[in-house]
Amino acid sequence: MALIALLLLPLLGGLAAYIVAGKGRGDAERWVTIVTLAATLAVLILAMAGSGDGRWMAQVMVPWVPSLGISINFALDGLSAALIAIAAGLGIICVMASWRDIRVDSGLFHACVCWTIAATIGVFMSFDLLVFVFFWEAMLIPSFMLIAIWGHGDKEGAALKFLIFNAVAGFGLLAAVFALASMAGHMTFNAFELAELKLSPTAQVWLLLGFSLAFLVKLSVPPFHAWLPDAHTLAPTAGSILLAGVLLKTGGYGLFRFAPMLFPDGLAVLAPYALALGAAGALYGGFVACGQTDAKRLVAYTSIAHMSIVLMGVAAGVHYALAGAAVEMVAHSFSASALFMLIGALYERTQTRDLRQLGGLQQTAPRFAAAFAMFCSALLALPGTANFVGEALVVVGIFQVNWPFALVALSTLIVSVVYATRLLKGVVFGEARPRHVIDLSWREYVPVIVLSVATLVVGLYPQSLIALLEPAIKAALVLKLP
Amino acid sequence: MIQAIVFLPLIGALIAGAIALIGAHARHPSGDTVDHDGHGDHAHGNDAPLVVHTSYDEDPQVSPMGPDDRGHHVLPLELQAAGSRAAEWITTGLLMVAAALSWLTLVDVGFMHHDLRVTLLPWINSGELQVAWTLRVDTLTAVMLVVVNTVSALVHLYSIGYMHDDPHRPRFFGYLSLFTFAMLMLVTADNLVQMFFGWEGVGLASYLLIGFWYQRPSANAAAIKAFVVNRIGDFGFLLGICTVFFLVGSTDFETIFAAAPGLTGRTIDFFGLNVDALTLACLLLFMGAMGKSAQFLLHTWLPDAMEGPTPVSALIHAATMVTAGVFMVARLSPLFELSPVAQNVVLLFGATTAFFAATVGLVQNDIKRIVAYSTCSQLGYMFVAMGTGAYSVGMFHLFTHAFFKALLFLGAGSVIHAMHHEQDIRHMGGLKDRIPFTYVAMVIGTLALTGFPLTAGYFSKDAIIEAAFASGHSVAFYAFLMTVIAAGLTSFYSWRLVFKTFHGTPHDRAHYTAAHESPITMLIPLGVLAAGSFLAGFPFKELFAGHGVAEFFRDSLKVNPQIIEAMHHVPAAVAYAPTAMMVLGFLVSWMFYVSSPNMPVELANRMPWLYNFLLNKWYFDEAYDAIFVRPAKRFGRFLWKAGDGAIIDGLGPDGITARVLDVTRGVVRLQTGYLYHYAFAMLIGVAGLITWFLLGSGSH
Repeated sequence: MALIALLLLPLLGGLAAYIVAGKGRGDAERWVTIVTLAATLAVLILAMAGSGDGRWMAQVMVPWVPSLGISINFALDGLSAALIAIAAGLGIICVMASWRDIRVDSGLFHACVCWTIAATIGVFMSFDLLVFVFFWEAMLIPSFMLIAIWGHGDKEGAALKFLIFNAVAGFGLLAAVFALASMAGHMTFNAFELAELKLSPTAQVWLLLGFSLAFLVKLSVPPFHAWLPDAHTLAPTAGSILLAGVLLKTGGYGLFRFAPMLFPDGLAVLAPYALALGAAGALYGGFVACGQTDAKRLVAYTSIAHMSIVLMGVAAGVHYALAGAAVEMVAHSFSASALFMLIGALYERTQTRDLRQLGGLQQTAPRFAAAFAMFCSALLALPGTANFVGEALVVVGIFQVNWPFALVALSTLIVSVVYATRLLKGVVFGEARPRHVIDLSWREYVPVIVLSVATLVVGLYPQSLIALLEPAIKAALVLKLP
Repeated sequence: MIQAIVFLPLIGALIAGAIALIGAHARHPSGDTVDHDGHGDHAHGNDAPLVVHTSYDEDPQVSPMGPDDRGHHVLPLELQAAGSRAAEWITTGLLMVAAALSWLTLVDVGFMHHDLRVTLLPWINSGELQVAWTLRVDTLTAVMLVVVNTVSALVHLYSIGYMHDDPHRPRFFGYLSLFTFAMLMLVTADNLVQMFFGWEGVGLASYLLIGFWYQRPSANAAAIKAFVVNRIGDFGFLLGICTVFFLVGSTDFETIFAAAPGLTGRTIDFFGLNVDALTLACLLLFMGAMGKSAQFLLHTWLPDAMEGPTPVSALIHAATMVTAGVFMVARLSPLFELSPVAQNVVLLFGATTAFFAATVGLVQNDIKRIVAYSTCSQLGYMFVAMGTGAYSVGMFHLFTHAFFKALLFLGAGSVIHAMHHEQDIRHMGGLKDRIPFTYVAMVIGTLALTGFPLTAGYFSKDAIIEAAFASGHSVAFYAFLMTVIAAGLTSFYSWRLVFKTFHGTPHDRAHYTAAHESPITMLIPLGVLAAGSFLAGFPFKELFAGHGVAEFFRDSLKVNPQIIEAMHHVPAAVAYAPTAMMVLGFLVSWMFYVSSPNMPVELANRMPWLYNFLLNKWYFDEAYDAIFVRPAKRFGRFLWKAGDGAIIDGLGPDGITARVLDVTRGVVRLQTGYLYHYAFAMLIGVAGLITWFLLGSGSH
């Protein structure tokens, strides 16, 4: 039942935030959101502590529409738990980061934040594929509204692009799910049952392509990334945090979870192409990031590069690579969210994100500078940060499978230094271009410290995270080494 | 004890960092607490634009700059951070303790043979990959501990004087201590991954310290260049780690060394070529060493790194970080020993660097850059020793070089301090009467660097040249020639520096008369290092390059008794060659810069191509810019403008996406005018589609 609560809490919390908005001291909806998400985290911890059967920490299986084979089929393992924790945690950070910024339709804003998180929580624990698709599509709506209503610049265009790309790709997933279900012989969307089907490799390849379309668009691996730069850049800070920290991860999660589970033979056929795609994407994202002058857009392109590395990790399919892909997802959630938050705070103060107009925060806002330097280090995968553990493991894994691709994955390390130091120089060093910038407030600093500590803890002692992920990694170990 | 040695600097760094942030908080109040002076008209604190005016901002002509190595006396306009003094003395004190403990460790490990391995925590455990945080102390490590902590403690002390008017001192000392910690992690590593942690950690600290004076574009550019070039080396290093792991299944040194002899003859398919696996691994690892130790081809960052404050150059870019590559080869000597090809490559690069950097050093005019090229050249010497298999001899030069090169840098810093941040030796002259103590220190450093008999450098450098000769094969003979010639060049440029700075007539009267001797905190380190420039030589000779090597180093590096033995039996002509070259260099330098100062100008006029070639450092920067940097930039811009624009807009400006967007936007505006109505419509549409699919498939 804890899993149902996990879903309902943010759903109802969002509704409550919408209703209480504007009442009390004017910040009621913010506190409601924070309390709801904190409660979600607490329930998650309870669910994780509960007695599981080894593979799953908790499971719920309730028939819903038996005639159509639809059921509420939730299961929680370490991978799901880690990503749900990140979703809820980043939700709280979103509220804190938007405290000043969002003053229009604040109730609806916080409802959208909660609902986005609720839908992604649904994605992270649904094993009924139709319900999975439902949540997959459902998360688009509130995040679309976040961009379209509270974004900057051509926000409507960006939001529409985001919606169209993801919705269209979602139909690929939907079609593949129906095709898969129709092969079962009886009506079922239960992934565990469908995994038992002995499908021909050809069928698996086609179905996996359908799934992958949705996953790759969400993961934003080039050339499926076209929606991301605008959406990330023009979204409000909270939107960017949720997009980078949570929504992109649903793509990685989907691949990690369902590709080996449902289509092991298909994955074996497609894995080399996926490796190539990821390698090209990692270099592409990195190179384009180097040329950006908009700080936020730069970080958006680094997301593309890092998610491509996640794709490579999943495609390599060996233990190190899978562990690396999972750690990289977690690490990227921390670092990208923190950078989006910091850049958002800076934009609030200076009304610009242009690296040519920024600079010198070392002087004007030293605490901001320290935090920014910390996450730029994470961006370039400095050993000691979680990002290093993720990328190093992926590289080691790819090296075992196909070392020329490891060469490419490694060369992104050189590119990452270029964009990370450019970003750092543009914002923190140089002359104090905006000559008056107020340093971070505690409300902004606390999340940054939390994310820094998380990045360092995972970077210096990733063992607890890897142990948590171990069952999910083992389950995904289906590829045979060449 | 080893935990104390490694973590005391980290504690210092954290304290200094905290002081820097808290002090900064006092000077730059945050959005919560700020009183909007002059902006009291804002009704709600929450809605106020986050803008604050501090006092100096009102005056446009006063720039809030710290002191500047180039510019003249910049007033400390920024307020000193509260607690600066505490940050200085805490970090310095902790380093002093760590240094004292390091010497005890050297005795304990080197003579009592109490080697140590302390496992702190597991780090990365995934499948076969088992990496732990482990501190390993053997003689090789202990030597590095002594070098790192001694020089670091002295540099901390020196910086108290040198940086006294900088408003960002807590940050500076925090970085220095952080660097020291990373360097200690590097030298105490028990596996390749932890070594890489320290390796990149020192790279970060170096980046931060080179760019410490962040307002200067040149400092920023130099910092980025250093980081990027080092990452290129690290690319090889990581690939080497992967190769070793692939071959051995472990990154622990003990396991690797035990497995290494069994790997000889094994090949790896490298783009269709069968390459010897060990050679490939060693060469990749050496690529990392080349980056960190600024060897030929990857050397371009080191001279630029002189943009950092001078104490940083002494600590990082002379005594410790740049020697990490040498240390790495020594640490992995059981591996390199098994691959003669890799050893010859090391020899080749070392010898070429020794010669190349010395030639460039001949004509430079920036006091720090001369010393920087000298460092580059001396690192080449160390690699020559490594390449010949005389690893302990290379470590000997690393050990002595740390003292006399740190002395030269700190001496140069003292000159710069005295000259109010003037660095061009053409504007100096005659300073020996104004700053006699610094003069004596610099002369001692120069004597040691040039290998004057009985100084530290004499023993270590001659041993390297002898080892190169004793190896006997053709590459080693090339190295022998190069190092002997470089010895002459070293002597010439070192004395040129001394003569132009301290002798002759002052070129800048104002600076000359204003020159003053440095404060005591700066002079003590000079004195200690000057003593070290003598004492690091003879007393350690037997341990590093004589009959005590096997007893002293034991298993911590590969000892080849035959090469040590052969070194002692080289012909007398060879043994005296470096000393002769040293005298020759001194005499030419004397002639050029003391007895007939017109000669160098005439010579430069007669051979302008050679002069310009050297002055422009063999045009490496220009070549790299044309070959790598600009094409990469163009490529990035091409991808971004042509490639990504096209994809985003969907095949050109009239692309599919654009059309769809135009249409949908028009429709949305026409029909409702509200976007989120459209969103709800989408939701309903999706729900409808799902229903349709459901019914469709349900009817089967």
